[in-house]
Amino acid sequence: MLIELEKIEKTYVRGMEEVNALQGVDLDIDQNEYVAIMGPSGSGKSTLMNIVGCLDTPTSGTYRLVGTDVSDMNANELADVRNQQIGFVFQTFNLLPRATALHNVELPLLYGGTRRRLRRERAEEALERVGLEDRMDHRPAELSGGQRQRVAIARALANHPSILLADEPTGNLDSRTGDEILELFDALHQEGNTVILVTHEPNIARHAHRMIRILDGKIDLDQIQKQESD
Amino acid sequence: MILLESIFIALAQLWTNKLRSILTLLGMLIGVGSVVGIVSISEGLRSYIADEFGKLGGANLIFVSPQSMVLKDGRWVRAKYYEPMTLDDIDLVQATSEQIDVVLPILGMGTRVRFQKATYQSQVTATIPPYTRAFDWEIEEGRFLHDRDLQQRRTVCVLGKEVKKEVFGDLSPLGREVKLDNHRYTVIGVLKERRLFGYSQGNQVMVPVTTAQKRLFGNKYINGLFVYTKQPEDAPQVIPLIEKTLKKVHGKKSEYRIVSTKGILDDVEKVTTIMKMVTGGIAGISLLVGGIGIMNIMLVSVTERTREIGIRKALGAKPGTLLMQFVVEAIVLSLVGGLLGVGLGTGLGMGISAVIEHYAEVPYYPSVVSLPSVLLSLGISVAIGLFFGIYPAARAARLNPVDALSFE
Repeated sequence: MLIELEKIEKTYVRGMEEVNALQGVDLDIDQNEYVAIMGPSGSGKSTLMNIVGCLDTPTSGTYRLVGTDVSDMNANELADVRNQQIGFVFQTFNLLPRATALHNVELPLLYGGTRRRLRRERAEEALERVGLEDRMDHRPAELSGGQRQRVAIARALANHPSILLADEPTGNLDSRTGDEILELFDALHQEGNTVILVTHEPNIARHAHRMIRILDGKIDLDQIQKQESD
Repeated sequence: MILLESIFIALAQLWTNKLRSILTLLGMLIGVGSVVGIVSISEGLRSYIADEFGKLGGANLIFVSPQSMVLKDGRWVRAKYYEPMTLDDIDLVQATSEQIDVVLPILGMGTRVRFQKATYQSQVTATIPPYTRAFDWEIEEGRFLHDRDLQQRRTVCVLGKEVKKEVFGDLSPLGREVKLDNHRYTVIGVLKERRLFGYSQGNQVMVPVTTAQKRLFGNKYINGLFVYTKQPEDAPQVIPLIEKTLKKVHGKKSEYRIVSTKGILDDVEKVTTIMKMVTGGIAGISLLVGGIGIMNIMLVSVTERTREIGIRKALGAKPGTLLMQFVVEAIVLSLVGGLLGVGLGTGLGMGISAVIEHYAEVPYYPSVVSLPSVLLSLGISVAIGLFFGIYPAARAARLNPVDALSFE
């Protein structure tokens, strides 16, 4: 099993009140699954995504990623896990504005300790995979929204992670570009990647094979979806 | 590899915020610049004075004169007991110590030199044959004084280069007679050109001290002695011996002023050290202010780049890596300030020495930028960057990735 969440709870303090963002989540996700996590804002889906992405640790419960318990790891160990296992794609792209596309894609390789030449090779490879081989030396400001998100996806792929974790990846794109991005995710899944999409739009969630709905910090629905293409 | 990357990131960051970077490193620039500048000027002063004393015979020279005035309760008063020195003192002092090389009399006066219709205001120096050797001053033509000139009180003289030029022009002066204070003297030699502390020594006319005593001064006194020791470090041992001998001869109550060039050089050293310490203090304040400026701008930078920090963390940057990135940035900032400061200080030193050469009419005034002072300044710059950069960098490193990513 790739992801095993057991009785995950997350409580944090916002102002004076305690917020129980997750209240006992059990969830298993297997290799090469294509999962959509849905839920209205405030449901706890972002908190769940942060925990799955090892950006945050649960208050209680166990999280095993590729068989390793990551729920009690320190900041350094979590950084390694994020670097090696997780590829993030954000709604707002989160590219470094002053770095070129190539340099942005090289970053996770740099932090993973890949040597300069191999780093460049693999970054170019990732950019070619998303169809941006002729935009490598462009800065984000010189790219369209769709191209920027492709750079972000290339960056997520660069280190060959176990999971592609995308948080509203089409939220800042027009619907046509959004569709192209989703097609790219579909293709990446076809190639064997595990994809987790966090979204609140049913149209987007429909691309996934499995749909998980979060409501008030609990899993409300977990179902396998029929694919139009299948 | 990540260190190199951090340096590139730091340089790019500085370049992006050019104006801000320049304003921030101004404190470092002024601090380091003033240190390097003042150190180069005071080192220059020290080496200039040392060089000039070198022409006088280096740090081996001791100057001895009887004191007719003494300092008492902060006021100069006539000494109760005063006996002038004579030529006998030369041999007495010479005999006091093995460490003494040469003893010369000090006696002289300003006098006109005349030859036919030409006349020149010159300085008569009454001396003895070892003079040229002691002062390392060479003869250009003819010869210097001989022992026999002194024994026979011959009316001969040796001219400085300027006297020769002004009085004789292109004419050879050897064997000709000049008038000094209405007495006739035969010219036996001409000395080479020589400058000391920027002033030409060529206006001198050397005569045998015995002749001068008889004809120019009308007494058997001398004003004092130049004592050369064999080694510069002998001066402190020799000085008390000289004083003791002179007091034995001239009476216990007689007072002497005994100054060694080594003592003067030591005093110069003290003054330049004080100069360095004072500027060091000023520079220290400037560097402190500069450091605080760096810390301030780094805190601003960390806040501004919270999102960037979040992105880097999400991609796997460890706290230590981010700590290093921001510390390197602070160090690069202060080091660039320090390097510019070294440039500024060097320019300042050169500029001021040029101004001194021009206005003080000194032929040369070196500005010495010493490698140790440059390295020390740069080392201090790095230390300041490290010290003031570590807190902002630690703030960046400690940021929670979730909070950093959602920072607007």
